[in-house]
Amino acid sequence: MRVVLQYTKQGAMKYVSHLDFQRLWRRLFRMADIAVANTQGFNPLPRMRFAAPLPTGFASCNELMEVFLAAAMDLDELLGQLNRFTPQGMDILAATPVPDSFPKLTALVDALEYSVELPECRVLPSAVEDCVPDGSTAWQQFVLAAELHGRRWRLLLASIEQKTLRPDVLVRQFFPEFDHVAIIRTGIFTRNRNIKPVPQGLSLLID
Amino acid sequence: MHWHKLERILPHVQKPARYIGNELNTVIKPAEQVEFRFALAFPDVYEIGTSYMGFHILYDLLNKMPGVQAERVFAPWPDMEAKMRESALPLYGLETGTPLGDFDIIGFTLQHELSYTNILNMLDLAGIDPLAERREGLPLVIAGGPGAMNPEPVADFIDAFVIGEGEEVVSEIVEAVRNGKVTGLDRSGMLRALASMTGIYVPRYYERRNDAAGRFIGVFPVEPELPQRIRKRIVRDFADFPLPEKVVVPLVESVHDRVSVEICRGCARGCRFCQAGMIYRPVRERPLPVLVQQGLTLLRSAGSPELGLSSLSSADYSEIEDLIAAIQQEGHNVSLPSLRVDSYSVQLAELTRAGKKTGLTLAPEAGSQRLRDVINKNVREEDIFTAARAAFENGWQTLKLYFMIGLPTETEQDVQGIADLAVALEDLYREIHGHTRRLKINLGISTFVPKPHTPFQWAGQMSKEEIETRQNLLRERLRSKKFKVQTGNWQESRLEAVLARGGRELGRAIYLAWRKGCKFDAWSEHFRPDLWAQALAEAGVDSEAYTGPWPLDAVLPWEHIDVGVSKDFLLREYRRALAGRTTPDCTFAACSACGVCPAFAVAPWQRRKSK
Repeated sequence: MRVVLQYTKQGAMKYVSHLDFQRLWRRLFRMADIAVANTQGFNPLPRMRFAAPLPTGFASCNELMEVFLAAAMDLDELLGQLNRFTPQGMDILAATPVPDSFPKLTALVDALEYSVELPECRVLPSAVEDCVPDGSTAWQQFVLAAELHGRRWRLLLASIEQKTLRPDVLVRQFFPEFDHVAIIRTGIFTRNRNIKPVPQGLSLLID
Repeated sequence: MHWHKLERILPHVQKPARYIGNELNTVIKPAEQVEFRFALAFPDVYEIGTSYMGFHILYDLLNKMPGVQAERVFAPWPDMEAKMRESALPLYGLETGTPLGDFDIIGFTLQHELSYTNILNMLDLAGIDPLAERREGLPLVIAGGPGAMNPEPVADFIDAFVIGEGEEVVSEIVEAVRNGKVTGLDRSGMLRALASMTGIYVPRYYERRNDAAGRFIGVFPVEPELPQRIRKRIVRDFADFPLPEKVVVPLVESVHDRVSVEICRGCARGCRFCQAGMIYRPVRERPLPVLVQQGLTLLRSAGSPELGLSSLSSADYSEIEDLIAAIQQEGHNVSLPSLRVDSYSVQLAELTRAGKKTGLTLAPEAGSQRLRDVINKNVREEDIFTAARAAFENGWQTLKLYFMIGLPTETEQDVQGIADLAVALEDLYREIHGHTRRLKINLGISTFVPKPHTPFQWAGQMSKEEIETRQNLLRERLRSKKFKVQTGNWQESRLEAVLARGGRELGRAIYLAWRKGCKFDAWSEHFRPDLWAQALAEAGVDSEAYTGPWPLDAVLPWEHIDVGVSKDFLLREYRRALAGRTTPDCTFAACSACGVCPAFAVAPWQRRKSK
């Protein structure tokens, strides 16, 4: 049974690296006594995939992963079981069953949305306005939106063949005076309108 | 406040998850229910410390006491330390972020002499004076573990030592200090109360004495009611002592992704260099049903894929095969961390291999039969070959062999024996497979360090030149790509010997070394032999006096610590060693009269099955 899970990684958990976090997921399934199907091959691992790795130090209120359960089960029970064990800052919000023919989650990701909390209000340098949606430089092609509302900077960054731009690169470029800026991933977007069902936590990107 | 400061630091350090707490199975009590805080302090980095079973046991016992909050703390890596000092963030317990200075007791474990400077550094990072005599009020700084079996080198920094097994005494200590707080005892009143408890050594109530000629004659109590010798504690009922049902699982990848159960304690094999083999006697086992039940409970509560069956010699557990089978039957992997050199152990390794391609580890320790007899490593040449044959025939490609050089009576010929053995094993592989394409033989070559309470406590270390000659000899002889020779740093081994065999006079040198910036001495990238040499010289400590051989009638700095094994036995064993005579394991053969069983009024342990 293939399931897409929507979850958060906040508070202290944002300092857990992607690799350690993958290990934590495997552990959670074992603690909850939920069998996960294994990958084929010489060194079989529980079959799970993450939509887009979250760099260490960024929080997220909207992460996605998919998992292949060894047996079908009630999804409310799945959420309940897993949430009994998740550490503080990690909540599993929703589970969407998807058919085996569903595209790979990683292949669906076309853009990632972030909210950057600046310590003080700023006006966006015109350079950023100019560059959107121009794709003339290496990093500019990734910036789909960059709107500054007081202290909150909303960034929508493209993910092109699983390559994307780290939002802290833009922070350093335009606001080098701030050495401590909180960055939260707020959304994962796809352009693919043909998928059914649309998993909870995956948003449609309308250009 | 704490989290606010941390948030500014963590983006700038390596592996920030070491410092956040929040792991699975941590215990955090509501602040209003906490009246006593106990910090379990591990003087090394998080990944090393989180797998230490002793703290898992104590964490569980302490947190089961009402009103007591136990927290863990590890040595911050130097990048984190720098940031903490910069932003005046004191060292804190991982569970609640409470600064160490606000705890009632800080308990360090002394696993390794080269972690001593980290203790001073951690105290300093907490704003606590490393020198015990300059401290006032709480917290009390206590320490236990194998290093406490010679407490003198760190006696200036520790208020009280736990000698021996901590399971029972830890709650007695908490009760004594908690009562002391209620009745308004001051620091020295509390320490005096601890000093009268069995298994606790409070250095401020003991002094070193010299005779008229200035020769050291021992460490003596300053009050007549205090015991002359501090007898180590052992758990009254090891087999049935309750075990933790869950352990904290690190968020950062640790050395091994496994949980462990201690299947037996103590080892009677009697290797003459081995401190663990002497200080953890008597040998005791846990019953199979208890281990199966606890193992399965732990695997589930930790979400771990693998159960480690830990002990000093896992293959010696009476029902080891049944135990492995019972855990595997439930679909889990099993690992055996310490195997003997024989074909039975290879069989066990084969049972637990579970498709993994890791190498097989064997520790013959010495390269010739003569020297193996001297160190009482009761392994015959043919055991090594039958073990290796079994391994190669079962498809193992990588062999890890552990040896020691610089052992008492060792000659270059014995060291040649290591190389001869490695080459002979290569030949054996070729004989079996017709080629050596996939073979790898890794040799870990450590340097002998004389340890307190062992038959070799009187033996000296070899000189720098002799050690380096032997290391080079092995590297020269084993140049083929089939072999990988890893040798230790002789300077680290020498310092280890000085700190292991030192007396209270070493305190000054440790203090000076720390002030000069020494820390993480066991990590070659941080080890500073130059600074240590300065510190030792300034403290007036002549290293040679600690690394050289000692006369058999010398008064030892740890004479006042009674581990149950008698000095007569150690002396007898040392003499047998020099005569090349072995002593068999008493759990299979006759009693060797080490003194432990009568000391603790236990019946000698006999193996139910002998393999």
